[in-house]
Amino acid sequence: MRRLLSLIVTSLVVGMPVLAWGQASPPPPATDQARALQLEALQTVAMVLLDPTRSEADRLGAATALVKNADRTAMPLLTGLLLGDRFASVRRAIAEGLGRYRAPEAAFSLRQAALSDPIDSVRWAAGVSLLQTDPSQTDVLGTLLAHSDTLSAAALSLQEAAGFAALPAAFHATLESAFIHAFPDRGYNLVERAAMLKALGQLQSQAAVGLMMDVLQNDNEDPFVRGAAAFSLGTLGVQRAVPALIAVLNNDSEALQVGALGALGRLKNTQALFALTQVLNHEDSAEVRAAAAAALGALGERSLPSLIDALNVDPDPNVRQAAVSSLALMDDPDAGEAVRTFALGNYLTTCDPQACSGLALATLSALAKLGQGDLAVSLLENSLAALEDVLPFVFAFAEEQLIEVAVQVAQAAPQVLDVLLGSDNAFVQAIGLATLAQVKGEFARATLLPFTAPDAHRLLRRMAFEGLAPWARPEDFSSFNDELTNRDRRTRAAAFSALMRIGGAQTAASFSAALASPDLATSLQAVEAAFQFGNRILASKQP
Amino acid sequence: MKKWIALSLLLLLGWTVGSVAQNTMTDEEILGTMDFQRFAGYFNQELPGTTFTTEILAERPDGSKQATVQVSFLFTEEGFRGRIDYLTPDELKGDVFIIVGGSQPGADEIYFWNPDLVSPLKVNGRFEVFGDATVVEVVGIGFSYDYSITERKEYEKDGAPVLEVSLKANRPSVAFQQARVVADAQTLQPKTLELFDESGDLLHFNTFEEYGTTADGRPYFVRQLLDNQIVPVNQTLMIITNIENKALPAEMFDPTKLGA
Repeated sequence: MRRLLSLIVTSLVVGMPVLAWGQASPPPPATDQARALQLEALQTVAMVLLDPTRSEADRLGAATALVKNADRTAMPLLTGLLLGDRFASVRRAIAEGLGRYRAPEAAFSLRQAALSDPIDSVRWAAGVSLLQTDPSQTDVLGTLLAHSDTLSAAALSLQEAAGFAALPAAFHATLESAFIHAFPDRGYNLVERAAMLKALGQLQSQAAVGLMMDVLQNDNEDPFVRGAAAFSLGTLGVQRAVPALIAVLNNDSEALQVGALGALGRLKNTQALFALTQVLNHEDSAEVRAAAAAALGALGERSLPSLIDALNVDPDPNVRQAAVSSLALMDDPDAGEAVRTFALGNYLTTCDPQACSGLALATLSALAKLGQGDLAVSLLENSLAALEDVLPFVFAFAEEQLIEVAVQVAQAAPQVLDVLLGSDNAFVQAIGLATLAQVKGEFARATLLPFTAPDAHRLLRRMAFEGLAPWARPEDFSSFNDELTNRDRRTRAAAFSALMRIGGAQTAASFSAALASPDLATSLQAVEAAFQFGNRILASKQP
Repeated sequence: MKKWIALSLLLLLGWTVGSVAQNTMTDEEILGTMDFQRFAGYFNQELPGTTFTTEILAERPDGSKQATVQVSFLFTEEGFRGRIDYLTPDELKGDVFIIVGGSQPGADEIYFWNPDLVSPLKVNGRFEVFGDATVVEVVGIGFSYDYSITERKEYEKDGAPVLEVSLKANRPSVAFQQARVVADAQTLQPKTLELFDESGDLLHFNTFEEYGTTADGRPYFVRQLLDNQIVPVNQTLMIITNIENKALPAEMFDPTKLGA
């Protein structure tokens, strides 16, 4: 295997001109430069994959960078890895990624992998990519669906939108039939059977509605599977299932209740209002009450009283969080007033910050959406002060949510930016910079630039470079170029993105230099950037 | 922690497994063999470090989450060291948890790091798998040190002879005070494991769906379904691939070296 890969890389490299960008001689034509850069990237990633001492994480990172970005010159390397890499995660990533090429030269290897890889999920992923590449190879699909282990892998993959999106529509009916036929077999475990129902929901299978209704109402069926049947009826929009869905809310299985509540939320049928309110008011399980509060949000203003009640009295902060999120969906002054009253009360100030941080964020978001910007600013300030000790943890695990809420607040009340940027806490300032960049875009430049100074706090530099990258100008080249080797991954990513936007021969030379970085993470970022940059140039030169 | 040590000692004794005559075995031998069947592939006295990859599917009736994690562990003079690296999905890729010492897996000092942090964070509480803090605790449960057999039953299930043993914890500190194992009567390979609290309420129902063997013939569980009865909305399916016993550097488990 190693020898094969060596030969591939050598054959690709031999004969290519050595390009020395950045020297006095004029840069070569852009297309040659793009091809050379991509070849260099291919060589870099191949050397990682040829090294048997590399860890699974390294190999997976390299393989993913390759299969997501490379052109068909990488096909010999990719198909070699598909059939020979010792890690299933690497083979699966390649199996999943090869379909996008629609490359006939990959078909043989995909077929081999689909029929003989030892891991079920790799076989299924290879089969899907094969069908994308050569839809005539239906015998492989037949073989995969005839075996219970690959049929299970298919269900587990297709129950999610990402897995489902890869399957060509021409094969939907075959899968639909296979799942309906296999479902009664109790040899499949309950997770697999539930996945079959959810996959049938993704397939928009009207033929499965009867089966789902039977499962939902079958007291001898496992509650987890019944919950999946309920949820899938919601996915399919089956309004006639509403009475049965309401009936199972009295069942004491949380799995069944949560599935049914999810469906009722999707179906938005006001027949369910009373039942949902009863669940919200009387159910013991906080998880079920939260699901009821979420479902009620879809029913509009008629659910206002029960949601306001839950926001103010429910003993569990997660239920209150679901209630305030549902209230935020309503364009109703009473909802705004209720959230305002709640925010002004003392619940949030006395609640354990770790238990209530989600509720605090949801309340802030609701205030911003409901036009209570001033109060949102004040609450955000107080919340961040209360969270000061745990802010590094909150930031580590919920940065995206924090910034999303701050953006919502800033859109309703721009003065929050002064509050955030004026803080002496680096985490709060970082939220401020990220928020500013999202709200003001290119017009944030003057504020962000000073934070790129080398002596600025690492977190603030990261946020400033990330904010500047989408609007990078040619005069920014050297400052971003200096960051290509920054130790911080996200600052490097911003630099790669900015240089790609600036473009030109200098960018290609910088990416080439970064490919040679001794730090694997940096060189793999350079690999992705080099392929993407090259693809863009080559696409622009096509007649 | 002690259960892992007990398991290592068991392997050191060179327990032989194949077709065993369980009716002549002592209770300790039965429990030891059941541990051996599930975990032997994970341990090698010559190479005390182990890595393996786990596909985790965390399922709910209304959705699912999937991840690939690489698990590594090592026994040092200072005690147990564990490390969990997320390989997929993209939003978790690069997240690392290091588990240092502690009285039992899942209840130790835990450090979290990802490439966006300036330095590792010491995390309070137990390691969670998609919000379920019991997964690590339940997967690593051993019988031979922590439990005694209170009852043995033999009968046929799905046409095959099985041995069912009821277990009682040897100490109050054991997380699950009662357990019941149904195993193949010939090999003592567990098929199901039920874990109960002191009053007998069922907390977890685990099904060992598939076993494998290492190149040198040591068995291990490959596929396990974890049915959490405490949070019945969650089901977890774990599939193990690529077990390797090898010398692992101690720095790999040193939280101060993360990101260095």
